[in-house]
Amino acid sequence: MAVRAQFENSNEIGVFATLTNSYSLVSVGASENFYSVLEAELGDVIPICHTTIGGTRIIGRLTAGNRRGLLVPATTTDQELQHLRNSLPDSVRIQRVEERLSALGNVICCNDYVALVHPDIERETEELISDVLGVEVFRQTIADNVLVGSYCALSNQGGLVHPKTSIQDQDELSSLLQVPLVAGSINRGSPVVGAGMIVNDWLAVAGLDTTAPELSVVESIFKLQDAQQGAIVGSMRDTLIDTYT
Amino acid sequence: MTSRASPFYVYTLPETLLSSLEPISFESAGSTSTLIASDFLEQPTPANLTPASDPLADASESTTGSGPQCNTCNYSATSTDEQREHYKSDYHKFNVKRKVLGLPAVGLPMFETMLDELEESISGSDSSDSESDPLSDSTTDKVSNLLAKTTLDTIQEHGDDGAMPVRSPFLIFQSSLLPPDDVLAIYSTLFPVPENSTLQDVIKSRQLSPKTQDASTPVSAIFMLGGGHFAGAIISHALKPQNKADPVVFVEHKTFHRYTTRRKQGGAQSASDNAHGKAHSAGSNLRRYNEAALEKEVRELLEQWKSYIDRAEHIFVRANGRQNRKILVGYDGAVIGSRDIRLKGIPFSTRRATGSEVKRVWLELTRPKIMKKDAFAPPKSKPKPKEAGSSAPSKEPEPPKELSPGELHTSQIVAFVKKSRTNPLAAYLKSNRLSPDFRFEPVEQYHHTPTALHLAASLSLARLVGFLVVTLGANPTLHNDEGRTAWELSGDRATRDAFRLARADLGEQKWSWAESGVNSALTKADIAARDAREKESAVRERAEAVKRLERSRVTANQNAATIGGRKLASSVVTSVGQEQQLLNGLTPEARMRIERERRARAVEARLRAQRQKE
Repeated sequence: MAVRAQFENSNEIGVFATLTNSYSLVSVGASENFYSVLEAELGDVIPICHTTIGGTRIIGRLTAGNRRGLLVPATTTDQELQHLRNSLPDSVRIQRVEERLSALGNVICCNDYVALVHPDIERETEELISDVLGVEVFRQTIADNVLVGSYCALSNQGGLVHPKTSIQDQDELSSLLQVPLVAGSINRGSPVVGAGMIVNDWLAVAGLDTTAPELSVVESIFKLQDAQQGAIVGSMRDTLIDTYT
Repeated sequence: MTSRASPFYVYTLPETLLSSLEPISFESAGSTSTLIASDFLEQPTPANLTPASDPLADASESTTGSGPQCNTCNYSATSTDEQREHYKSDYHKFNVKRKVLGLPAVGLPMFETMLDELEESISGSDSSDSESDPLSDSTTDKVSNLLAKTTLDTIQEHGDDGAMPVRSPFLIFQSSLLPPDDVLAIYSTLFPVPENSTLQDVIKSRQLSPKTQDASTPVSAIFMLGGGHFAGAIISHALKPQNKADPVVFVEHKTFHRYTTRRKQGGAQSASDNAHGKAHSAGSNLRRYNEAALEKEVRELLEQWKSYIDRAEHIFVRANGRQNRKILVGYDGAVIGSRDIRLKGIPFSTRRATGSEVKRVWLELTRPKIMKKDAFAPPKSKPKPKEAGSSAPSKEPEPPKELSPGELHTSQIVAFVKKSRTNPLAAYLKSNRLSPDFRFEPVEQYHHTPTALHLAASLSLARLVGFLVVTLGANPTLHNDEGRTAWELSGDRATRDAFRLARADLGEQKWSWAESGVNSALTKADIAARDAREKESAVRERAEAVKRLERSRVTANQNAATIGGRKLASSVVTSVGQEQQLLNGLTPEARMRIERERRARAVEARLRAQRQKE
């Protein structure tokens, strides 16, 4: 299921929220609209945690996580860390990372099995990522951008990368990540796909500006169509087209 | 990409090469230069930049195969596992970082030789990381070190990419022994040319005899100082021929380090002291002591080496900032005078001051480089080199938009006014024969402040207002488009005082002051008297406030005393004497706070009293 939402008039959903297969983080906002959208989709399935990171609301860009763990930057306060520990399931490891590149969401892009990271990230951080998140870590660039987290949205089903990624790079990355990749934009042509949307294995939330073609690309690459919808596209197609002609 | 070190050494150039050298220059407008410059214009430059001509880019050889590929390293693996293994290797990480920096990838053999070279060059104090964490796997450090090294080299090479190096640090020579589009480049600081001799003669005269070295072999000195690190060496111009890897001969050398820099804050302790006043932390005291100690040690060392320094042919000094430079050069009784002609900077960027860095600097300076000619080609955007005698020598670049003379004057005057620079302003007005009441152009932009006086007044530049009116005789009666005089634009009392002082200085007859709106004349004495008066009244007011407070307290006490059933001691306000006693034992801050509270209470009491009256 792919939905559109807005966080206080901003389309950059990925800036203000983090979504994984076992939890979701949203920043505390003046309006609860965005929270309600997530709540409606995820309410009974995974916990949604309201938090700030280091007193800021850009938690999506500052944190990186997957089913197994969550990495937060050194600016996170002890209270925030405790709050996260209390709110997230016990199976999720939470780790504070002392890294010069403190916007972890911008420099790490991961699913439950593999992570792409900024080439300049420290060795200790690299080890933490593979320990806490249980992933293989590769230093890479996406379309010559070092901010892999900003320019790639990744789930266990597939990935969306910067629209200007060359075919060779896409092939290389998809053989590395072992998931299908597609180059595309979000939010009516924005290339920062990582910051423009959040995605896990069964839900994607994109900005309100996202066009229908963009959303359909998202749905197909992340395999988000419902069984019924899939059937419409697949088996019922002949019938439908018959009636149209 | 376009330069590589040659196997030569500037002080022992082979005779055949020496005689074949022909200097070429782009700075003089001689016939050779135009000829060569036009050659370059015809030559397609990108041809020389193909990866094949780059010694680093032998990576392209290994790109065949159909398995998974790494586009960064041009590497193709046979299996996915192998590919993943490759992605974890230092070789791949190094190439990814090079890609981010916009450099071409290096091949695996090249990478390994680079790594070996690096290992040789790392000495103990070069890498603080390896000291602090000797247990950790230091390959990433190696990669970053390697990267730092190579990027430094390439920055040197590409420093002025695309732009014509108008003041190139190199002397450039053609030679019949070199390929036609190659040139030999030697740092020009090594061979200063006196008035009455040619460059070739100078170079020839500096060549060493092939005989063995002795005490008369010329020496040069290199001193590097920065961030508390000092490295100095006296280097003989002769090289050790038997040791190819480490040919530099140190006659004397010394390095030391003192802790002087403020970690995570940056800058020297003395700089911080000068800017913000002395800090009183333990660390700052340490650093202050260490700075003094470093200075003392360095100067003692220079004194010891005086005999060498006196006969040194060059003295290369790298010391950033006045503070550092003063430690080495031009202090009282300095060994190296600040006007010494042998004193030179190092014409490329250097790393931390260490012994091996000094060696590198010397080798870099003295190894002539072989460069592609087009590294010195003029940029394509420039028009063709001037035809013989058709135009004057190159002028200052014209401003992008054509400005009228009025607008040019305006921008100049406005700049002077904004910086409050009186003398340059006066000189500018005089040299351009402009009146001090010059109307700014374009009119619509300066409708609020059409003259320098208006501008100065609106910016509250009191000193400049006085200067304009009294010295330059600017007219204070002029109006701007809103019909206001400069006086009416002045923002504060100091500016208005400047006008009134000017009125006193110039006399009532000079301008029709009434029209300019300037208040009655004022002399310096008047101002002093007024200030004194104000001070006095402020003091008086305060005294009155205190008196009122005491009075209110007394009445409050009386009230408390008259009210039955309430003990005196429990009254909210203690008696004055008691409070005074209390105040005596407190710190000034606490006392001030209590005073403030007391005043606030007084105000409340006064208000209450007023309300009661009503």
